[in-house]
Amino acid sequence: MNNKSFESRKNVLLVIVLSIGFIFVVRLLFIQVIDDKWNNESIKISETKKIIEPDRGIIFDRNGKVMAVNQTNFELRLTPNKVKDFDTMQLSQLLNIPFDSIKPRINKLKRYWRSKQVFVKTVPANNLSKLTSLMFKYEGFELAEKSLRVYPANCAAHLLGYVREVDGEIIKKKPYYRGGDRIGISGLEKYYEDELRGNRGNDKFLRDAYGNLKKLTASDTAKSGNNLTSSIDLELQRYGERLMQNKLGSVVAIDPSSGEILAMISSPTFDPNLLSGDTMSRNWKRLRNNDSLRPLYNRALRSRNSPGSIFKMVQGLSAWELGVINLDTKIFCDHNVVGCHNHKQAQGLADAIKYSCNPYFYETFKLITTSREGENIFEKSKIGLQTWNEYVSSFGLGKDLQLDYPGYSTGNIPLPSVYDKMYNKWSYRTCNSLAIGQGEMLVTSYQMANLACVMANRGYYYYPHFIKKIENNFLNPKYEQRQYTKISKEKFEPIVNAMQQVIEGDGGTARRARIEGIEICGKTGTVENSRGKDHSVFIAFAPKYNPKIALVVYIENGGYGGTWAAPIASLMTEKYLTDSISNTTEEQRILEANLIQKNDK
Amino acid sequence: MINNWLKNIDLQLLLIYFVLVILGIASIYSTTFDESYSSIFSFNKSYGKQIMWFGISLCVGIIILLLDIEFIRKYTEVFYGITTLLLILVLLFGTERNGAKAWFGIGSFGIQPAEFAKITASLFIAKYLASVNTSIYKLQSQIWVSVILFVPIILILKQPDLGTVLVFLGFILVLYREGIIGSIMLYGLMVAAVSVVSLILKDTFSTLLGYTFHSHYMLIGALVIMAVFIALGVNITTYKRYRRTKHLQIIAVTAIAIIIVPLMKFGFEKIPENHYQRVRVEIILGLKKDPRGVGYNSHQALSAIGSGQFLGKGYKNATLANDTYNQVPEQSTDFIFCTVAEEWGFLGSFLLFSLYMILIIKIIAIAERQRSDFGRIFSYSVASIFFIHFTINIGMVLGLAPIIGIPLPFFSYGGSSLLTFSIMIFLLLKIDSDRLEIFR
Repeated sequence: MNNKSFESRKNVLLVIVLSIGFIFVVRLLFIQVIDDKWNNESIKISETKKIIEPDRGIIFDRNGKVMAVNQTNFELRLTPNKVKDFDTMQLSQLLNIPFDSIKPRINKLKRYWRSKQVFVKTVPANNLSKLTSLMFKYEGFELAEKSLRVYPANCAAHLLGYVREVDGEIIKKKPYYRGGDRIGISGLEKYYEDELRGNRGNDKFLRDAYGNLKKLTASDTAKSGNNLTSSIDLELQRYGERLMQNKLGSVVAIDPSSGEILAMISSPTFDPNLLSGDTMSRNWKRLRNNDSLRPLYNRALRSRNSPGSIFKMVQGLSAWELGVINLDTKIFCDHNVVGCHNHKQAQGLADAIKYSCNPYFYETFKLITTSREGENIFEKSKIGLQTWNEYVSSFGLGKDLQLDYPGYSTGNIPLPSVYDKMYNKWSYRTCNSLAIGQGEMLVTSYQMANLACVMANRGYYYYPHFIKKIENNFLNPKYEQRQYTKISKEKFEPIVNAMQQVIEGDGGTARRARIEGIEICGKTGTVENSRGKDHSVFIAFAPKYNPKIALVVYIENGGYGGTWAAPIASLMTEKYLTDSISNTTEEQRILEANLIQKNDK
Repeated sequence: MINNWLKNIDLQLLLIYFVLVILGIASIYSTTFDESYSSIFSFNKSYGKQIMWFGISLCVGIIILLLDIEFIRKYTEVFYGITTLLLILVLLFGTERNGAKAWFGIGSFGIQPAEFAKITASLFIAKYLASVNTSIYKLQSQIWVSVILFVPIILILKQPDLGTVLVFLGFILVLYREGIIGSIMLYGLMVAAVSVVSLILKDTFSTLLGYTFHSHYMLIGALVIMAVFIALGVNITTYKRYRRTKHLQIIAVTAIAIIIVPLMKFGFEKIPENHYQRVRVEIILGLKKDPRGVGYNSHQALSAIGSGQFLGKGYKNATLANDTYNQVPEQSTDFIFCTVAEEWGFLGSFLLFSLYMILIIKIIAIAERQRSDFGRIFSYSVASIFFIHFTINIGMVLGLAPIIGIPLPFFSYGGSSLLTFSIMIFLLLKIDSDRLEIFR
């Protein structure tokens, strides 16, 4: 039995067998337990998510009319490697694209020949049903729903803003967003993005090797965005835009009893639908680059201007509150101090406002500064300007008024430091043009409208805001708190009377703004403009008691405040309060006027 | 007589066999499990067919147990002849699946003669080496053993079915146990290494002393030099009377290696360029990188296994390796282990490995207790066949070996392989139960 001598070789064989077993166990331990790589890989190949896009919230006006809504569009996508021969002629007709552009389009997409790509962004709606029924003829093509933001009222472009698909930079900064998502880029669409957006839903599926979805494993329903009710009155907004046609400037109308903005017009404006859909980027570039009037620029919230004579109420009230004048203080209209127009001698503060007397308010400015405690006139002026600034700012001028809107200007009411930087030594004389709303003072239209609210409310205002109600959420409580000026309440009534006189009294500067049956109070302004014709400005509120609307009309290069701004304000007030227009001749005059200077560049 | 062998049947081996087959059928059922399909038993489904094949296997097994082992011994050459004939016929009339002409199709069933050739070759080698006038040391015997092995190997290579060829090469383990000098195994490994190296070098050139050769000449030169050194080593370490044999062996192995070098090149190039086994070998050798095409199988299999983690997803809960998800190709046949690994995790897989280890060690133990050379050699053949199947199948699934189609014994779906492995087990049981009666 010669085999006996080799019996020990069985041990070698056992060692070989056991070592193979050992190697396998170790390898398995790595694959299954120690290393996550293959488990992660299995998730990658076996699970897929199907995203359910949420509906973006709708924006309504204050009366429930739709301002921004979603429209379902159909997109034609294709997977290049699945495309078979098809009737190009018919497809080009159905899609309204040139026959010979189809092949190049497909060739362009062939770079990613296995992935689904957009072939045509919007399938013409009139051909949609026909195309749907013919889809079986176009292998590799696929119709997909796509939501489009539309603005059916075709107005309030600046207010609403626009949305567009996110780019890489946004995705990097905001982890929620994924390619193809839309995000608000300006206006309410941007400010209320988090409310409007909603939250996308996810359906998690197990899939097979060919990508077929096999089993739903988890479902996370999409949450639609919250609808917003804007404070805007769509009719008023639209009417205002019509009146402002062919004029540069802005209108802001606010309900003084709540701070709700009723209309915000920046002229020239554009159709908000231009910034939605396929042609968006082309339109945007055109609006941005090829229009010297800069229609994208929001004059109502961003443009900083001198308020002009409408500031005189603030100046007068501050002087009175500081005790340097009283209601009956007479100041001689001395044309040597500053130019003025011809008017009767003002018999007190109210008259001075009615006649818009420049020297009167220069004097009050001087009195405020000189009455301060200080070693010399320079120091007095510095302290005086500081005090003056506090009083003026309390009217909301030059202040951040907490608008629910992205990127508004806050204007600027100068502090002594402004002049310290400019001059070695300065006194009130350096800056007394501030007294009549000129000089270094810069405010925005919405602040002027807010000033009208302060006058309407006799001493307080609410932060102006564009949104009245948010579905499933509360409005920020700051919009419900009254903001008081430093002026005591009883001082307003005489000034309001004077504002009424501006319109209804003899010699008032805004007699064009009269409306039958409505007590309207206002103040004109003509802002000196070194670069062209003066700006025309008018603030007003109505009715005098229990006011419902306060507004500003600011027309660049419009000349006297009474000529253009006042009648526009009056027409809008009447429209809002009575929903009718009595003075149609005046309306016609305004609609036809073209105040845009031809050489304006 | 009957009472005797019934008493002597190794119940442990029988138990392991039943456990493995039943677990295998359960796994196949799990891969085809579909909630929408109400009927549990169906011949249209793979597990139904597998159950039927299990029944056939048991019938054949009982017949084997009832037969006299002498009958099998006596007609071994006939069986071998039949399977060899079938291997020839399958090349002529067989149907092609997965690029291999390895099947006789009968209705929806298929039979692989190569599976049965494993058994007949095992029996034949056992019988030949056990016969009185042979000795493993005789050149003549060695040649005969080679012939017995290489006839089926060459026929199977023609199909081509690399997996079964490797199983036949596994007989070298048996021959090692039977006393072929250890260095033969070393030479065998060297030949294998030379084959691989010659494939890697097949299109390269080397420069020596200013002359440029095809790399294969360099390789052949290196082999000759190595052979001379080994022969010198033999002169120092071996008794004079054995030197002649050893020298002859060295010359033979070197000659084979030298012949293999160009043969591998030409043989390999004969395989169509896109043939899956060629590409697989090329990937393993680093000649080609194409994980998306052929590497796909391995990637999917490893993902399924990895997803099982420690405890697995539970029976019938696979989300990759089953017919619904179809993530793993060939999941009820060659890649059946993926289902086990995904459903039972590391724990279950470890237990399954252990079961296979126990099976193989058990068979080796049975082999060692045989009193007849025939019994021992045949038992070792069975052990090596199981071992090679297990090693290559699991190695492939775990990404350690190239993707070579070879079933996991008792688990992979397939009638021929289940029947073959069952016959081996029952032959083993029969031979083992007779061991006390045969003194040879």
